[in-house]
Amino acid sequence: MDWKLPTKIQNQGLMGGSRMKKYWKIVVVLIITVITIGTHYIRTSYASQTMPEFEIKKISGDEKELQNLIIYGEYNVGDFLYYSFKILNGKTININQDSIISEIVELPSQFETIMKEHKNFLRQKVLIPGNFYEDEGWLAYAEYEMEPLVGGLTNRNKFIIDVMNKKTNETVDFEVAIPDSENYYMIDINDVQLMNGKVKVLATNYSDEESEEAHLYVFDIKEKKLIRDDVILKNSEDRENGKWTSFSINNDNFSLKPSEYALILLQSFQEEMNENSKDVETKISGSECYVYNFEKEVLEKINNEEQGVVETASLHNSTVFLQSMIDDRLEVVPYDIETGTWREKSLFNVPQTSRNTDNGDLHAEPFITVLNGKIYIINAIDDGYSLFIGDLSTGKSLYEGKIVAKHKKVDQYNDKTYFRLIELKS
Amino acid sequence: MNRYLKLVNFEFNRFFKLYIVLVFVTIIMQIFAVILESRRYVREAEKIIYGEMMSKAVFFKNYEPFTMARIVQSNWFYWPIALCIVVLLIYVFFIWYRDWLGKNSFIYRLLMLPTARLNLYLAKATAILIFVFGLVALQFLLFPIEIQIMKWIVPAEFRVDLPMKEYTNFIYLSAILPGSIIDFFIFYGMGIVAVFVTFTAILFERCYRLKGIIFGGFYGLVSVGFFLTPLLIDSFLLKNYFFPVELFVMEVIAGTIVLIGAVWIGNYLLKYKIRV
Amino acid sequence: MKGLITQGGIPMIEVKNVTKKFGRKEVLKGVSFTAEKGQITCLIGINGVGKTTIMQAIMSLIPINSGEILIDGRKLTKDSYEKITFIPDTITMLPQMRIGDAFAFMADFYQSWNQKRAEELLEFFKLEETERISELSKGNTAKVNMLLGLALDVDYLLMDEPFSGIDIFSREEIANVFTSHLIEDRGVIITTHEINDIEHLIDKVVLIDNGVVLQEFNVEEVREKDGKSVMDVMREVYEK
Repeated sequence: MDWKLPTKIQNQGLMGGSRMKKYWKIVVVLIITVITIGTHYIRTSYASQTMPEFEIKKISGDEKELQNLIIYGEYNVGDFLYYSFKILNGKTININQDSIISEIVELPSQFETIMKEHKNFLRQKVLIPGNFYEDEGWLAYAEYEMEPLVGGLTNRNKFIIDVMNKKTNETVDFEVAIPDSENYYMIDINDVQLMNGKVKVLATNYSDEESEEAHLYVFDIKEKKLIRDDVILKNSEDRENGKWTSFSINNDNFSLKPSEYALILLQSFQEEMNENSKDVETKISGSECYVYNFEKEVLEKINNEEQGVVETASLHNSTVFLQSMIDDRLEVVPYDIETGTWREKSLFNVPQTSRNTDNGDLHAEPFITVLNGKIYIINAIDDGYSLFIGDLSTGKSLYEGKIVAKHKKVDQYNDKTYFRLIELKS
Repeated sequence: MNRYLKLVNFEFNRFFKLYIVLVFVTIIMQIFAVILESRRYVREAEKIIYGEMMSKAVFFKNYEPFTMARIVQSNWFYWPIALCIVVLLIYVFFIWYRDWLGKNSFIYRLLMLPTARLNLYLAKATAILIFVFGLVALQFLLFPIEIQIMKWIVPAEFRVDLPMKEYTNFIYLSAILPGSIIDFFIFYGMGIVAVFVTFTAILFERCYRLKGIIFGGFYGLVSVGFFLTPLLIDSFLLKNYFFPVELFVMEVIAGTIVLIGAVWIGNYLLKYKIRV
Repeated sequence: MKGLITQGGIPMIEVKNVTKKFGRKEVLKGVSFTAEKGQITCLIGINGVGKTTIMQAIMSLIPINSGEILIDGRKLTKDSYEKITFIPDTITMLPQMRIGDAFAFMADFYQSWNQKRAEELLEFFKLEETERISELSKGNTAKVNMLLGLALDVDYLLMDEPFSGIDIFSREEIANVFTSHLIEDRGVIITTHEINDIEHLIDKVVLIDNGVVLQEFNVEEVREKDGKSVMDVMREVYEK
């Protein structure tokens, strides 16, 4: 049986034309996708590179004041981007805050050298500078570990102490339970000092609603025991008519540096109704200033009746600086702890709001901070920001300058900068 | 490589019609959300200012300005996103099962193609990824359009024009539109690993049917468990010995191992254990 | 007569001692046979005996529990699919495709796809490329399915029940294909439980029952030597 198929005259498949035709959909989608996502992320990172660089132009004083000074700020551009930056030694560095990476990798700057040299000491510890102490030969750490509260306070909370000899890399660590731990629902560690074979921990203990106690806990390293628990200061338990008292230690600055003293500022607060705005405002109605001596383990009150109500106080070596705003001026009064005497007060002009500026800043209030006995004031002015560095002890100006954005503003309207922190690079 | 690309194109075209529907639904519903919320705000503001005779200054003090954030929180805005996510999740499964459905067993044809069976696996995964990233791109494209429409409806004085980072930080948006390219790789990288693990689990079911569901489920749990091992060990056994950076690196390695495992096992199943 | 002894160089499909279990049920209990290129081998057995399973196993569409399957002396690889194809009893294309789309798909993926032959066969079967597969009658679907296999320049064709459920006229058409040059040099394995239609077409018979090969024989030889027809041999074997 022979069988033949008829031959076709013409080839008429549906598959006419170019083969490439059927790829057009996926190619279009791919191109759009890659370009869109690519440009979006390039824009966000490019923008961080083209963000304005800031430079600090000197008006008077010593540039050395700017060395290793880190000024943190935030910059908004239009309705698309805003980024954090820091100015350090003449360079503007972008701080990328919108990535998980930054959260993972970030470490408070005080820990950078310890991370490099004694990484293992930092393991399994709460990385807050206030819990640590570092000097040339030693590292010390204190933590108050709390069991999670299940149905009330427990007495299973304990102090964890760890001390390391930097030269020999030997460590001593131990745990100590304190007898009355069920009385306090929280214990914050404010400062850790190491001296004479003892770890001294200054802490704030909180019990029930409004009660605060400042404690000094002394731990003997050799014995691995708690040998002292002094209540240094208590706030008043009174809480009536919108009045209460509270204290802050070291102006809530946490440092791992050795210090002879700690500063405790006890303030009374009063809530008042503002007649005009109908807002409830909190006013400081009274203040008491104390200095704690770690070596002698003694609390001393500073007699500051002359100076009136203190808003902020800061400590630098053995000098206490009391700050109050009076009208448009910042008044700073230094007190020498060792001699127990007051020095001449300094007055700094700090306008509350800037009037003559087209900066359009949302945050037009000046930024003021006190660091190591110097005062830093950044204020928005016409074409930039004024930077003032003053010596609190002498009241004299150490440096005056202007922070300007190096290139032209991107958008006249929506360009805003504000400064939020000043640190010294350690 | 060539046949792999052809398969990707094939898988892409199969779903394309439904994909376009998703795209249009998203565009329409989101633009509707913009118009709706913008007009609603303007109406309310006008009612208060002109109706109750409140001065604009007082209005600004007592009421919040209008921002993109409000639109992004609107139901009409995120329902299409949720819809797209659900449809794609279903399709992760359906992209396999559809080849076994009905009396037209296309799976025969796929398995008899003169190409490595791994290409079937990879092509389906690639197609899914293209669909996902395409929708991400769509959202990025829609934002400037939506912002412009909003600006047309709401006068400037009532608006605060936020930087995009502010309003893309709401919980769900910050996940699908990560802030930085690194976060993008991290989040979508994990998603890719999840898709691959799911594919391999599906293949367990397709190879062993009823028993396969258990195998697949077990395999999925093992994968998740392995991935979490560094974190769990550090948390429970080592009392947080490792620093976050170190854990991150370990997790990346763990994720990579899980990914390679998924592909290897999936390939093995497709080559030696699959049944039509 | 047992199967031929394999010799290097003779192109054939060799199934060696293949076992296959589905769950607890052992479907193939050690199946061995060969199918040579240039011959039409027919697997005969009752429904459910495992004929389809054997074919699926040869094509690596299902795994086997033990045994070996060699094509031209080698195990199946991805490139083998350019040399061997399977026409199951269901169509292997998407129902919403038009016949032309199916051709395009095959052309895209198979180097051995012969577009010209596909179009010739399509005309022979009196079908159009614009017709949708889902709208075809059963007979026409079977024809398209077969077409997809025949239009490939493969060495081996496996066809599973090519005549089942087909009307008589379509059957004739399909049978005609078997005697044409389309099949001439190829190795064909077909399964059927209905040998009457095709007895005159096949070269070799493999009788399968109860998971094993009962008898494997060459139709021509048996007729000449013993004067028996396939049916005769079957009767003998099954009566044992």
